[in-house]
Amino acid sequence: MKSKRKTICEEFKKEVFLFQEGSLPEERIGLIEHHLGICRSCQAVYKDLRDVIGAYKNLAKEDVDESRFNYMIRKSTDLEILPWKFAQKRKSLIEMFGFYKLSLGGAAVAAAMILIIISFLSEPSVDNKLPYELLDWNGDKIESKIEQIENQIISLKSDEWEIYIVRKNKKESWNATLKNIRSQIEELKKTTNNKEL
Amino acid sequence: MSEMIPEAKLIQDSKNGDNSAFGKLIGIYRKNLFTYLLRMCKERMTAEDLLQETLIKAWKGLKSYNEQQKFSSWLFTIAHNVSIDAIRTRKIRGETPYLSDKVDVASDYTPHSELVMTESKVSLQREVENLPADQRQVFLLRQHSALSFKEIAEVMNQPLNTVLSHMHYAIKKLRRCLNEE
Repeated sequence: MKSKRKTICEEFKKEVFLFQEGSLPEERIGLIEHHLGICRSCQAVYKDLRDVIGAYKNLAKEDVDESRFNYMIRKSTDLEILPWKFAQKRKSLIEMFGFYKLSLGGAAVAAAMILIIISFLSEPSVDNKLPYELLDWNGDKIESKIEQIENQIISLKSDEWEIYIVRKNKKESWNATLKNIRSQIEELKKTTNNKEL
Repeated sequence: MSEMIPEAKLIQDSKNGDNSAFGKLIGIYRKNLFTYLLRMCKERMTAEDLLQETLIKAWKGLKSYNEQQKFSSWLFTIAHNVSIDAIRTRKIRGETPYLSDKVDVASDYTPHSELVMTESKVSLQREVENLPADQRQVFLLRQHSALSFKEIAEVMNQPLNTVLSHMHYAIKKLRRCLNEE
């Protein structure tokens, strides 16, 4: 019996609002009214609801100025006059977020746009890029230089054992040859690195 | 009952483009509408902006308004959506609530009683504005619009039981505020 009553009390806590607005089915209304007659706890819940709603209804309602309201109606129905609306919104934004925050936001957006523009400008210009025809021709030049260096190395290698002993004693010419090859390689590196593909 | 007939005519005239009829139609709900928006957003300037947006949307949407639905329910649904959008997108902060010093005081109260009642009403208003968002929405919609709890649940896109729970906790908090006075 107690648990059944507890269930009805729990249901009442939600149904009391539907009971108060008059949207409960007829059969439920009878049950709720009967329960209200015997349950003090639910009587208190119902009283709380009526007290709060009663107190709230006694609060004065807010209103907007008559002239302002008429202006709003004119603006709503004459949708061509939208700039006023945006101007009002801008004013409201400043008032809502504050001048400094709005300025900071605007500055951040401007900085982002400047960075984007700079990144576009810093891309390699057309002058630094080689057209394909020139690239082919340069490619041939580079290839022939590589061939030259290879030949020198091959000639060094071919003479390697016989000359090695001789050149070993002539360090200068050996070093000079190596130095020459090295510098040609360095020059080749610089040449190829400078070009954008 | 006699008000229903003029309202139907006002609606029809407004649909036909009569902005004067539209003004009179909205005028019926003006105070309720503005009070609702003000207590939702807690700031007068914002409430006026939201009222303007509501009026624009109501005017634009009149053609699709179905007379089978109560006009006040339709209007407050627009107002509710406008205020929720504003809270979400404009991030209205909980600034110091705008408090009206206008209170209704019966003439037979003594000055001391009047003062106590005024403070009590101000406290209740503050408490309403400080309710959690869901509870505040349900409570205010119920008090200002003609929406039933079932309709409020549809507007808020929540189950009816959830809406009733919000109302239950709102009443509990507000009751505590009345008890403290």
